[in-house]
Amino acid sequence: MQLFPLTDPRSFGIPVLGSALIILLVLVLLSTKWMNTEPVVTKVPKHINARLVQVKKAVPKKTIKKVKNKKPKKIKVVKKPAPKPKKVVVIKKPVKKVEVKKPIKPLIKNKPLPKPVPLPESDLFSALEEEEQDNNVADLLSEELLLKQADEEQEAIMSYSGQIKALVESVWRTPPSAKHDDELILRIFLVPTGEVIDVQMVASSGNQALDRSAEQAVWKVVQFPVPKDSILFEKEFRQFKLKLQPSTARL
Amino acid sequence: MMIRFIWLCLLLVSVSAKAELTIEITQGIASSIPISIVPMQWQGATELPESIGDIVRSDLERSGHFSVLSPDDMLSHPSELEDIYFRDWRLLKQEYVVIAQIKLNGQDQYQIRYQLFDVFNEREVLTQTLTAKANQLRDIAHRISDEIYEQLTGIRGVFSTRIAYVTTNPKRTHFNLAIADSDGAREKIVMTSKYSIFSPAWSPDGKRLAYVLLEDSGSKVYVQDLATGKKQLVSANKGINSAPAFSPDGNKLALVLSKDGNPEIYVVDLTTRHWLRVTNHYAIDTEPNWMPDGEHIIFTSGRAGKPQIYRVSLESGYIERLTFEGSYNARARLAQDGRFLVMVHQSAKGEPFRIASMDLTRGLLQILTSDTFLDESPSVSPNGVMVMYAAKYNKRSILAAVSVDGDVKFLVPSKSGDVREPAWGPYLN
Repeated sequence: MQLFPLTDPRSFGIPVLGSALIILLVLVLLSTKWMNTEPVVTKVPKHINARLVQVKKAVPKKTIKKVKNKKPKKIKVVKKPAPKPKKVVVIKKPVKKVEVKKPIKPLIKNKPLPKPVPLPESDLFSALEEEEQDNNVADLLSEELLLKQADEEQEAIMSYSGQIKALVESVWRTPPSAKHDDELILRIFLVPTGEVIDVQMVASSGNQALDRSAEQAVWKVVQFPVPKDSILFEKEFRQFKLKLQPSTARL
Repeated sequence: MMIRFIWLCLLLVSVSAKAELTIEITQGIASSIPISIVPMQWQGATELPESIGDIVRSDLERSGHFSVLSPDDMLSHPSELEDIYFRDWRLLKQEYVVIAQIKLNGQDQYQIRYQLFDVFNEREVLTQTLTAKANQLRDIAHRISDEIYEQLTGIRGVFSTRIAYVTTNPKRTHFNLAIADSDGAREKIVMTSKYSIFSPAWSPDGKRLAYVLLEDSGSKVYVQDLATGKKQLVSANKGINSAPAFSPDGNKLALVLSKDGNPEIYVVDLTTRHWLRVTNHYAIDTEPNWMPDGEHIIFTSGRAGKPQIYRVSLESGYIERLTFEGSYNARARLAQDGRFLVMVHQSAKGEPFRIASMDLTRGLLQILTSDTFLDESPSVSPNGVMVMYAAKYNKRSILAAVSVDGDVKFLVPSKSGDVREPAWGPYLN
């Protein structure tokens, strides 16, 4: 009797059951989703924001600073790390090894730090555990950041390369003997202000007059536009190659 | 994690070290090179017979590849390297500076030392010491121009070469065959005649001239030795004897004879006097000119109804038409190892006659002249850069020059009368 009305096409049993199920499901889903999304939304951006700023600016500058000399940036860099070590030292005082191993660590940790500070008084294991967790997250993040950074770098390189190309083309006076398929390669050496300090012939075109005209063009530019970001400058623009081809030559 | 991060950084650095940034520059500007020829230091009591500096300045300026700074606009007139402040010359936007000293070295023997400096690279490009007698100072000046020109353009200079041409008095009763420096200076009469002189042509060594004399008995082709003045009759056949052209080895002469009825191209060996008929067509074939390989001849033919340029192989006799653009193309000469054809061109009937160049590898035709009238007889400089031609200008027959790319034009000064039929001589050494 009970089963019969359900299968009976005249009965409302199936629709009622179905709608009840749907309502239940929606309710369950709604409740669980609310619970899940809220923490994620708040957590993730916090981490990303915190680390994006720190990794980009602080980490690389430390490595570069040794190579570089006078630059206004130095002052900024010195300011930032100065207050932070104070906080960190409080946590890790007993464990010297950890400190030695990770001199740059504090910079990355920056925001998550306040929480662990009050919890473990100075326990080695908890500190290590903390670090391990941080490491895993930082690992993933740094990879992501590197990719992002690479993209931005690529864009900057393209932009500066384009400016350099336009500048050289505007002053390169090609001799009448230049052939459209002649080709030569120069290596340019710049200082961080973009000024030329040396020009080297990497591959001659075989036409002395053309070679000389190309070297002259570089010296004529005097100062090249280069990225202010010193890492990028060191990586790509302290020295780079110019491949010159007078493709519009008549011959 | 830090270690891994550092490794990643190192990896990135090493990768970028391998793939060093390379920026590709794909074009430059093709404008004239700014150069300063500082007035020469000369401490003699009397003025020099020739101003070498002026000659070099005008040579380089006329070539069109240089813009020469006037000595008045220079900040200093150094004659030694120590006195050159490259910064000053850079401020004047100069790319090259030439300094020189000249002194008397014994009786009537001058010693000239000049240096060419690259202002931007701050280094010496060229230095030379030359000696000359007073009457050779002009040659020395042209030689200096040649050296500077070649260093900076990558093309051999032609300032030391000479041109041959024909002059007449206004009544056309008196004709001279003359040669002069490529700038028109130091004209020298080679031969004088009451008959018309046509088509002078240089031997490749620059020691002989072939030409046509229109005597009472008909036209005749002669070859004259410039040193001795001795002339030798090469052809006096029935009818037309015209348009001589030396083969690249100087042993043969191509010319036009009409002894068989209509003008055809022949080649004669100047030592064995062996004749070879090259063309055989009922239309006019004329104005032969050798390809640099010595195995082909280009000529003008009316076989297609209108004059056009053709090329014939001496070995196989195979004939190929080269020009298709325009209603009239004639008197072709070759430039730059046969890559460019320079000729008299008329784009359509009724249009003016112009000098045009055609790039044989790309098939592009370019009209070079515009300011002169009735342009004719183009002759190409041995470096293939300039074309000298005859034209009407202010109702006079004059010589004018234009570069094969059409960018540089100038008129060659002449003293008097009409000047026609220029022939640009070969390199002299």
